[in-house]
Amino acid sequence: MFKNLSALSLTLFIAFALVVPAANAMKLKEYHQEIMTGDDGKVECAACHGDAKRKTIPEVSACEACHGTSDDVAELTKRPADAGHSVEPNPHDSLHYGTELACSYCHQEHKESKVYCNQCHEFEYPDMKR
Amino acid sequence: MSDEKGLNQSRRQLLKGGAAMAVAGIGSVVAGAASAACVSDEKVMFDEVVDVIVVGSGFAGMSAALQARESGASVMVIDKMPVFGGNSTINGGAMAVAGSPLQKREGIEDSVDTMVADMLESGRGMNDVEMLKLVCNGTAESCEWLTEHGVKWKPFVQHFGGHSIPRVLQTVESSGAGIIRPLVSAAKKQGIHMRKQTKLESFIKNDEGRVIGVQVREGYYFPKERTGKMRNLGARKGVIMATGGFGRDIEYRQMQQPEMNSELDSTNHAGATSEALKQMMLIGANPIHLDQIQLGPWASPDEKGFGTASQFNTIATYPSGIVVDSRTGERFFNELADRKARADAIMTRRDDKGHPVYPIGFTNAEGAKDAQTLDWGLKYKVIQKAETLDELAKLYGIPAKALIAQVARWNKAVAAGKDGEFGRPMQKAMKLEQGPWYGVRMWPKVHYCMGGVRVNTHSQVLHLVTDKPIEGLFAAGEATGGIHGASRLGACAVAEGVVTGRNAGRICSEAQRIRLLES
Repeated sequence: MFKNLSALSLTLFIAFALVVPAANAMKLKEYHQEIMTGDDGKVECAACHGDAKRKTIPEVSACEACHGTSDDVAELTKRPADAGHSVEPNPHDSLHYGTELACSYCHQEHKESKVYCNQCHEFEYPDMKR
Repeated sequence: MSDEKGLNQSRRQLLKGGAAMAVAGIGSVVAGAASAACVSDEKVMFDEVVDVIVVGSGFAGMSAALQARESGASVMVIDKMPVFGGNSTINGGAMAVAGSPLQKREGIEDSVDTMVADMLESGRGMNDVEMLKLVCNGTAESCEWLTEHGVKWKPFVQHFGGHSIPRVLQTVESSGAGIIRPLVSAAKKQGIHMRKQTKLESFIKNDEGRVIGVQVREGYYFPKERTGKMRNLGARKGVIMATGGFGRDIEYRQMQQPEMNSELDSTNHAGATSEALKQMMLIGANPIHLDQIQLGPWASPDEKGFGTASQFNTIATYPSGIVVDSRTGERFFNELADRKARADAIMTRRDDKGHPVYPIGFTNAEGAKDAQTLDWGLKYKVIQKAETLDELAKLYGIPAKALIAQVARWNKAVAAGKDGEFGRPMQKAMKLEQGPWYGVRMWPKVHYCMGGVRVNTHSQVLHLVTDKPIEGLFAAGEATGGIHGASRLGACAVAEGVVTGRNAGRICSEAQRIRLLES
C-alpha cells in the first residue's frame, strides 16, 4: 500500500513537474486573471515576461505599464501626515530604501507574495493582495 | 596563429558567459567558481568601462564612490541586492566622532588618542594600530563631510558602551538610512552609475596581475544563483571592495565559530554573505581575524533581526536603566561595557539544560524619553510596559522583593557616582525612581565581522605572500580585517566605513588610468 502510494505520488510529481512550465497552468492572482488572459483563453506570458524564450523575473517596467511609476504607487499607500505608530509604514516608500525595491521582491504572481520588510520587521498589511 | 586566435575566441566567449560558461556551470560548480576567480587577458573586451568600480553600496561603498567622483573619476557602484545600502541602511545610524562640535558644546574633552585607546582596549590589543589611527583621525572631518551631503544629526552626544566618554552622534532617523539615502541621491546627481541586482562573480586581471575589472551577473535576483546575464565591467583605475561582512552566511561563520549556528539570529540583511571575500582570497588577499565575529548585546529574542529592541536598549536601557537576571532580580554585568563583555555576560544566563534564560533590561519613562522605537516595540509586544516595579516583576517572573532591592541599590550607586559592583561609567547614569517602566527580554545576535582582508593605510589589499599591494584592488569598511581587533566598539562601523571608504576612493582615483577595450 505504502509502495503504491509513493509510486502514485511520484507519478503525480512527475506530471506536476511537466505541467508547471506550460503557460496555461501558471497560477495567476484573481485580480490579474482577466487582464492577462488573451482572446484565445490562454495566459499571455509576454504581458509580463516579454517575448524571450527563457522566462525571467519581470522588470519593474512591466508592472509600471499598468500601475504607474514607483512614485505613483508610493503615493497611493501614503500615510496620513499625522499618523502615529498605529498606522503601519508606507511599504512603497521605506525609510531605508525609499522607492528602490523592485515590485517582484514582494508581489509574486505565481506564488504567495511576501513582505520584504518583514525579514526584520513585524508589519501587518492585511490588505496586501496575495 | 589560427590556433591562438581560436583560443582567444573561446576565452572571450567564456568571459561573455556564452555556452562554454553554461556547460562549466552544470559540470562542476566548485571548479567553475574557482577557475573563474581570475581571468587574465590583455585583450578582454568589456561591456562597459569606467575609472573606478565600487562593489557594495553601504557606508564604505557610497563614501568611496562619492569621494572618487569628487576627485574627478568616473564611477560605477554595483550591489547584488535589489536595494542599496546593505547593512548600513538598516543599522542604527550612530557614528563615533572624536572632537565633534556637539562634544565641545557639552564641554566634553575628547581626542583622537583617547578614541584610539578606547578601541584598543575593546579590541583586546589585537587591532591594526595604523589603520585604527587612520579611522579615528578622520572621524571629525568625515562627520563634517556627511553633514555637507545632507546628513542630519540629533542635537546631543550619546555615551555608548565601551567608550570612556560620550562621543556618539546619531542621525535624526535613528538609522543608517539617514546617511545612505543622502549619499545615494548625491551619487545619482553627480552622475555615478548606480547598479543594483548586479553581482560580482570574479575579478578580471591583466597579464601583469593588475585587477582591471570584474565579471558580474547583471539582473541578478538574490538569492537565485543562476539568474542574470554575465557581463564584463572594466575599471581603468581600480576596483574598491566595500562588500561588508558575512554575518548571515551561517555555513561560513560556523566554520570560524562553530557555536554561531543557525540557532543564533543575526541583525544583518540577508545579503551579508562571504562570496566577495572568497573571491578576494582567491586572487591572493590575506584574511585577518575571520573568527572574530561580534554579537550585538542589545537584541531581543522576541523579534527578528535588529528590530525595535536594539535601538531601545542602546539609547534607553543601557545608558539609563539596568539589566537583571530574571531568576534573581539582580544585575550581573556592567551595562556600559563593550559589546563582547556584555554579550558574553548575557550568554552565561542558562538553565541546567543549557537553554537561554533571557535577562530583562528595563528603564522608566524618563530613561526612555529619546527612544524612537519605544511605541513600535510596544505595538509588537517586544517592549512591555508596567506601572510599578511589582507589576514589572510579575510580567517577567522576577522575584519582586529582590528587584525592588536591586533598584534601591542602584539608586544609591548613582547618588554616590560609583558602581561598586560592576564598575559601570556613571557620567550619564540616572536614578530609577518613578514608573511607568519599560522592559525587554534580551539575547545577543550575530552583528559584525571584525575580520576581513588585510589592507594598508592606502586602502590597498595586500597579498598573502608578498604583503605588497594587489595592484588595482582596494577595500574598505567591514570587508577589511584588523581595525577593531577582538571587539568593535559601538558606532565605530560608521566611522570606519566612511573614513576608509573615502580614503580608498581618493587614493584609487589618483591611480594611473590604463587603457581598456570597450565593445
